[in-house]
Amino acid sequence: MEDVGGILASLLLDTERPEGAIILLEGSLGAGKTSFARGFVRGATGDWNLRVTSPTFLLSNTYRARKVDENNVESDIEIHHMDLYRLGDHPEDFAPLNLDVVFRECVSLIEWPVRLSNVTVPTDQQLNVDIRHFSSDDTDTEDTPRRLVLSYPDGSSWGSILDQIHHQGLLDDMLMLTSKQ
Amino acid sequence: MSIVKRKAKVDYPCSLLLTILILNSMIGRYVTHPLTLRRIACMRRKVSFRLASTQLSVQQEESPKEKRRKRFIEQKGLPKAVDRGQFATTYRPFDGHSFQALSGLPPNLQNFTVLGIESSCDDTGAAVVRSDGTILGEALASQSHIHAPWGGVVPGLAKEAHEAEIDRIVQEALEAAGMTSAADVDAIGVTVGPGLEICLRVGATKARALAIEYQKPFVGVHHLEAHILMARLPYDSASKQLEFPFLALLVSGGHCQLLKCTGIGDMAVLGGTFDDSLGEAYDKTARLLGLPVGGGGGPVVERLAREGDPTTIPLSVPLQSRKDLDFSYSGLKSNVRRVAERLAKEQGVETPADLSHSIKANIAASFQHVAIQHVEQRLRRAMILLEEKENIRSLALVGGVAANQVLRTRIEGLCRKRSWDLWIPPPRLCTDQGTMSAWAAVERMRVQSTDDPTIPDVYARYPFAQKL
Repeated sequence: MEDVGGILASLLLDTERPEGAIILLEGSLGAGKTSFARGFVRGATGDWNLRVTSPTFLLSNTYRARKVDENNVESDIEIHHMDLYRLGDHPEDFAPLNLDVVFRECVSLIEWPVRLSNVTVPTDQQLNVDIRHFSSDDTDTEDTPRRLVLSYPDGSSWGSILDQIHHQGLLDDMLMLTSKQ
Repeated sequence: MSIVKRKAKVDYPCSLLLTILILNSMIGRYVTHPLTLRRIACMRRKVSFRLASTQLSVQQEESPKEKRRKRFIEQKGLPKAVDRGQFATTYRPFDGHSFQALSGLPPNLQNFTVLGIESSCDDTGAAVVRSDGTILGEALASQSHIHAPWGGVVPGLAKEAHEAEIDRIVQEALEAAGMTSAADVDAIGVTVGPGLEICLRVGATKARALAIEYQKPFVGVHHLEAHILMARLPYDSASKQLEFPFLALLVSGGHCQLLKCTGIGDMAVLGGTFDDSLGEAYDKTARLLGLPVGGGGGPVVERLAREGDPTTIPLSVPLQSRKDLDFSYSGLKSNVRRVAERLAKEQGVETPADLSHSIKANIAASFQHVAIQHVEQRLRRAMILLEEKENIRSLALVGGVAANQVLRTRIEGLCRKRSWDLWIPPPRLCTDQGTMSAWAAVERMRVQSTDDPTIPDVYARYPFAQKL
């Protein structure tokens, strides 16, 4: 899962406006959500030894990556890796996460997005990543291969990112389904 | 049930790269051509990437697609990535070798009081502490007597994002100390990082405003240092105080680290978790078993484990083959889930939450036993290292999980065996609260270090500076 995250980060930072991207990570305990996020953050920052730990208790971990635009101007981009596992349905629980600002100006990686049912989440740059265990005999170990179900809105930059991924055959063995919302 | 052994093996192409890298770094001293230097930097990142990717991974042949993905990252991602310091600001309260009292010091450094505020994450707390370690008054938002139907899993959280709450909590703490306003304390301290930015700001803004209004010395406290320094809080005038240097094991829901503590502002992380913390592993086990997590998952698993047999369920201890000081709990977490789900199936129930009390107790006990074994292994290695290299024989056990009796007992045993002194704050002082900020501020002022309250920064990430 780390490599998948790394590839997506790499391609996202190439786009004109990576800010505002919201990646919703779904999967059961141990599926690989944090591994994906780890690869993503390491890919975005280029630091392959960076510690990217689970934000379950800290709620959100922030990282800083550099992007370079077409005029070679560098700027900082913040990546917020959040885990909503511990939060309840009360909308006030989300206040400390400053979601309005983060959604708009940063790249968000959100584990347990099911908790967002009472929160408005901009959809135009959303990518849903559902990580599943894929086994023929109902086993489910660390080594069980994973499959991805991805979905994103029609017309968003994720479309062209996934086109590039298809074109280079990078995720053929893992993609179960890609759909446009 | 198969137990998978985990190896981090440096494979042949990687060791070849390493050789090239070493040669390159030797040549690098004499090569200044930008293109060659860029190639050397790329090579370094490539090796770094390969090594990082083989961490914790099971020894398996990579599929062609997996190789293609890695190649893509190396070719595309790495050259473009600029190797900037991740951290704009490190915690460094001293300049060179000296501390500075940027906002002055209390008039009497032998006897002064501090108002401490802590709002880095879940909860908001304030406390008034005297420099001899006496806690004069405390208040905590999640335990506030004002009844409010907050609901949610973290009741303190919702409250503390409201600025009105901080005023109330500070007032409560001051009044509990027999004071009417911040004018009555000698100094003010507040956590400025690490933590959630928006939460840190609430506390820091209030503390800075008070420091400026009442012209008090001000300290911007480091949250992790504050946890560690609770082990130095004198509990009575007779007891010996923990002295620097010492080893600290910080274990909580959000942190899982071993640190070498040489002085105020001078702490080095020796090892930490790659993924989940110990407290988190407990919490997730609690939820898996459908236990009520209101008071925290850890205590409820600990209670249940007392009724179970830790030898009934085989679980592998994480990172057994790694000879370092790092931790990993995500594998154990997944392992427990798999075992629980298998047992549920065998018992003909729908989910692990439906398992019988005695089976759940066995799962809790077995999990706890292995989780603590992992701590013991890493801790023992750290202890040996520090005994030999630095003659350190004092350990501070801090953070929320320090309240776990089984952990305390096992670590007490380890310390006895190796003739180490062990310092553990009382359980109620191991969690986030105002007292930790107040005491950390006391310690900073004792070494004549204070900060400038007019600088409004808070630091979501706030690593310790490397000593030069």
